[in-house]
Order: sequence, then C-alpha cells, then structure tokens
Amino acid sequence: MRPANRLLLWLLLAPAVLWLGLLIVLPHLEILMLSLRQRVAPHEYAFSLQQYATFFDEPLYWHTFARTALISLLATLLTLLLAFPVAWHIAKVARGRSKALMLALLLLPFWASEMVRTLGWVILLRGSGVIPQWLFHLGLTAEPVELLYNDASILLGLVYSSLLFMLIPLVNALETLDDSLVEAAYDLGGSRVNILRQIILSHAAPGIAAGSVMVFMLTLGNYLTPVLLGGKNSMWFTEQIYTQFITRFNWEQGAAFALLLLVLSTLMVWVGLKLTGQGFGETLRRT
Amino acid sequence: MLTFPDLAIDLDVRGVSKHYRQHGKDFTAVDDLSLRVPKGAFCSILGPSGCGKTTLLRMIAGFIEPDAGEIFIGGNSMRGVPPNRRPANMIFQHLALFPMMSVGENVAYGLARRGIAKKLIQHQVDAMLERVGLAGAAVKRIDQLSGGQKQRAAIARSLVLEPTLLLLDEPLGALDLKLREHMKLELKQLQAQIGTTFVYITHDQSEALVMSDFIAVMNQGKFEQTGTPQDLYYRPQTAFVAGFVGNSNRLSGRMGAGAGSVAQVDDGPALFVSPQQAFPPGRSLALFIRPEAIVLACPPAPLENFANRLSGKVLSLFFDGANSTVLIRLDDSDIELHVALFQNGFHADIHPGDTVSLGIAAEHVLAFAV
Ligand SMILES: Nc1ncnc2c1ncn2[C@@H]1O[C@H](COP(=O)(O)OP(=O)(O)O)[C@@H](O)[C@H]1O
Ligand SMILES: [Mg+2]
Repeated sequence: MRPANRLLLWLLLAPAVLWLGLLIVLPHLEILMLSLRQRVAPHEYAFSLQQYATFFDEPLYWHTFARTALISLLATLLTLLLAFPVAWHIAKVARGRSKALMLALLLLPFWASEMVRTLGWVILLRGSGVIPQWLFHLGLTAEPVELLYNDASILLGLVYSSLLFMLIPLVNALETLDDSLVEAAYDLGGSRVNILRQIILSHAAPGIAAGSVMVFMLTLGNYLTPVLLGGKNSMWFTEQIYTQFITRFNWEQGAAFALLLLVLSTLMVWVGLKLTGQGFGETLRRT
Repeated sequence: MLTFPDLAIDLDVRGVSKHYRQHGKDFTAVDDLSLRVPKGAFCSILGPSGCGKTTLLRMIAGFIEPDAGEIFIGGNSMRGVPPNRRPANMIFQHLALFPMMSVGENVAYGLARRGIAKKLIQHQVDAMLERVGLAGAAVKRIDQLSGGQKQRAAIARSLVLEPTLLLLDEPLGALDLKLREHMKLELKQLQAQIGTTFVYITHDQSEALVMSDFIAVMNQGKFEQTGTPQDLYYRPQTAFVAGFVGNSNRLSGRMGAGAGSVAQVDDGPALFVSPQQAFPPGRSLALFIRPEAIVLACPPAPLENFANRLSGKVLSLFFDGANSTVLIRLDDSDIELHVALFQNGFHADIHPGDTVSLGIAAEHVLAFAV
C-alpha cells in the first residue's frame, strides 16, 4: 500500500477506532480496575476479589442474575415463535406494495422512544388503565385487576420491544431461501413438518441464531422495560447494577456486576451457539 | 394426435386449462390441452418461452390446480392429490438440490420420507448414484459437484423413488453448450436403460429432436402438432411448426391462379409447391424450404430433374464443419436463401460472388396459409 493510501485508510478508520477505544475499551478497562479493588480506608484501596465473591455468596444476587437470564431466554424464544410466521409472510407471501407497507408498519413504532412505547403498555395495563377497565365493564372481572408488575407484563414488554430485531435477520434469511427447494422437498414426499425442519429451519438457522443472540443480549441488558412494567420488585440484574452505582454509591460492586453480566452472557451465547451447531464468528457477522 | 393402441398410458392429460389474471385481464396460459404419453416413452413438450410449458408441467406435478380438465397418472385421477403423494417427480429448472445436505442425503431424502429402514436406504442410494455415474460422491457437498454431476444428482434423487413419471423443466438450460450436447445424449441413454416415462419440456428444438420418442409442439397455450421428431421435421402441419422445428428459409407469397400447385413468391420467382394441401388462387402463403433440400450446382448446370430451377449469386459463406451454409441471392430479386453445403469436397471451391444454379423439388417447398 502506498503511504498516501495508508494515511487515508487511517483517517477513514479514525472515527471507528476512537469510538471503540473511548466508548468501549476504556470504560471497560476502567470497570475492570474498579471491580478488582476494595476500599480499606477513606481514599485507600487495595486489590481484592471481594466484589466477585459477594456475587456468589449472596443468593439474592445470583438468583437475580439467573432469573434475568431465564426470563431473557424465554422472551427470546417467544419472540422467535411470534416473529417467524410474520417473517415468513413478509419474505415469501407478500409481494410488491404490501411487502413494503408491512416493513414500514413494523418500523413505525420505533419512531417513538422506547420510554414512550413502554409507557403505552403501562397505560393499557395498570389497574385504572384501559384493559382492566374494559374487563371490569364487560363483567369478566369483579373489580379492575392490576395487570402490571408481574413477570408476564415484563415478558410482554420485552417481546414487544425485541420483535423487530428478530424479524429483520429472519426476513433476510428467508428471502434467500429458493422457493424451488421447498417445492422439491414437497415433490419428493416431504410433509409440511419435515420441510419446515429440514429445509426451511436449516436454511434459516444462521438468521435465527443472529436474531436470537441479538434479542437475548438486548433483553438481558434492558433496564427500562423491566423497571417500568415489573415495578420495584422486578428483580432484574441491570437494576442491581444501577442500585450499586447510583443508590449505594458502591462503584466497585457495580463494576463487578457489570463485568459479570458481560462475561456470563457472552458465555451463555457461546454455549447456546455451540449446542445448536452455529459458528460464533459467523453469527456475530450476521448481527 | 398420435394413438398408441397396445401400450399402457402413463400420463393422460384431458382437456386441461389454466387462466391467470395479468394486469387485470384474463390470460389463458394453458388452453384446453390433451396429451397421452405411453409407458416408457420420452416425450418432449417443445415451445418458445412463455408458451405455458412450465404451467402445464406444474399442473402434472400437482403444484398448480387446473381450472378445467383432468390429469391421470398411471391410470389414476390426480384430482385433489398433492405433489407429495403423486407418483411423479420433477427435475426443476435450477435443479433445486438441497445445499444443506450432502449428495447422499439429497438422494436419500425421498426414501427417508417413506419410512424405509436406514440400511436399505443406504443401499439404494449407493446403487442409484452408481447408476448415474456418481459412485462414491455420496459424502460430497452439493457445491463440490460440477454442472453435469449436479444434473445427475438431481436425476438420481428423483429416480431412486421409482416414479411412474419423471417431469423435467428445461434441466439443461443452465449448462454451457458443450456440456449440454453431452448431457442430451446421456439423458437419452439413461432414460432408455431405466425405462421410466419422461416428460421433458424445452424451448430448444435440437434437444427435443435428439432425445424424444415423440414431441408436442406448443405455442400460446395450445399444441400445434404432436408427432415423432421425423414427423415434425419432414411433415410439419402448421407454419409455426415448420418455422420452429429445424432451420428453414421462410418466404411469403401467394397462390397462383393457374392449374397445378404454383405459388408466386412476393417480389420473386414462381415456385412449384408441395401438393399436400390445395389453396384457392390468391391465398397468401408462408413458404418454407429447408437449407438441405436445395441442391446447388457450381459451376451452373441445368438440374433437369427439379421442378424448381433457379439461379443466383453467392453472397457469403458460413463455414461450420458439417453445418456449413452459403447465403445466395436469387437473380432479379431480393430473395436470399440459405443453402446447406455438403462437406464431401464437392463444394470445396465455392466462393462469394460465384454464380450458381439451384434445384428444389416441389415436395420440399411447404406452403401454409397465413
Ligand atoms: N403465477 C402467474 N401469474 C400470472 N401469470 C403467470 C403466472 N405464471 C405464469 N404466468 C404466465 O403464463 C405464461 C406461461 O408461463 P410459463 O408456463 O412459465 O411458460 P414457459 O415455461 O413456456 O416459458 C407466461 O406468459 C407467464 O407470464
Ligand atoms: Mg418455463
């Protein structure tokens, strides 16, 4: 490469490198340092693994993490189940104008901020909100019931805010599926279930993996939805991090939790991809 | 229509039609077609692209329900029978091999759907792959196969199910010319060995002529003529067939007024035409003369045995080995004719600018009303 070209390359890369360095690498290094020290006296710190030990010793913390991971997994699965038929319709059934319209409709809610969208659910679900009032007036419930502040409402909000991130990789994956493969399988005696499993899902597997990883990570790291729809007792792990940093002003503990979230979730994604036979690098490239 | 009195009929298409709505108008893609294919035959449906061949084939395979008419395969009505339960298999235009499976798994796919034991499947797959010349390729990925091998894998995948009928939708279309020529012969031989009834659709008349036992020529949703390759080549019944099957010189003209079958070519000579059909005087005609039906004399000679004797000048020479032709302009007209050159050394010293005599027998000038 000629020197001038190399300079140009560096100039072009500079914003990305700066962004990566300043916003991702540096804070994480800082967080790592924070998490590995303990205050022994005012303004005096020593190296310690105490913050990590606390996570495993105190059941509340790792229970919260396990719960967060489990609900995130469930939300990912539900999102996949809901998104797949929609993605199939957009990729394979809809044509021309109606296809463009459907994609636009999917994007439309994202013009409002996540806060507003989630508050929309609050308005619908809270005790004096729209749905409980209807149920009451229709005589289906004896009094207006509180539909907010439970696991189901958290799941609902998480699935709702994740749908698009699942749909886009799924639509992409299904669009590249040659219709004649499905027809050929049908022609050779394949049943619908078998064609779905052996041809369609196996073709769409990288897209499914990409969408699932994205949704899982976003859900696990989501703060707003669990707090707004799950209330104070939503027991979401990001809430613990928030509490440590902001309420308790225990930055060391918060930093350890943040790193644990990063490492454990990466580990879970890696194991998940290994179990389903998808390449880690390959999937990340698609997200 | 051909009849086959003492043969079992594997495919019987009776009055089948299919309409589409295109730009708000009703459009007939397949128009009241009937076709009978006897057991073990290689039948081609030949027609220009867009004439409705794929639509017809997909109705036979079961992917499209006909608007009218009925289809019988092996004597059984296929009304309401889905593709996965028809005794017919299809080779798709782009083969549609499953890229997520190995060659062996592709071939095993249909057998496994029938719930056959694994060991038996393995055995049948190996035998089938060997038969199509892919022995040992079972573990290969699809993208490791060459174009011709993919072709054979697709055929193996269907034939291993021992269908009554194999339907092929222009499977050679994607191959390069040389391989296509080779696969034509290979496919024909395979069909003769295995004896499965083939219904082969193509827009390439040479494929159809080489491979088929009989051909249905299709145009705008209808069959123009059904017959053996020789029938279509030597005895075309419509102007479309005469023009589409093989190469021909096409002239336009008008029936002469006098006795006998003489046609006046527009701005050209009068020609004695084949007396097959009688036309009223003045009727406008399309005349077809095959390049090899014209006899060339160079230097010019009387050619007394021919009803039509013409003279002209060589414009250009197209050398293509056994398929060489010369382009000749007839004297006193703008009519140009392609004439086949026989490469027996007889015409070796013919050159542009030479004056030649041409002889054409009356039965080689085919006339059709237009
Ligand atoms: N699903 C469809 N909707 C509308 N028109 C169609 C459809 N499928 C085919 N056609 C039309 O029917 C005609 C015949 O198509 P096809 O059977 O594919 O022809 P071929 O295989 O001979 O090229 C074409 O004019 C095509 O545009
Ligand atoms: Mg076609």
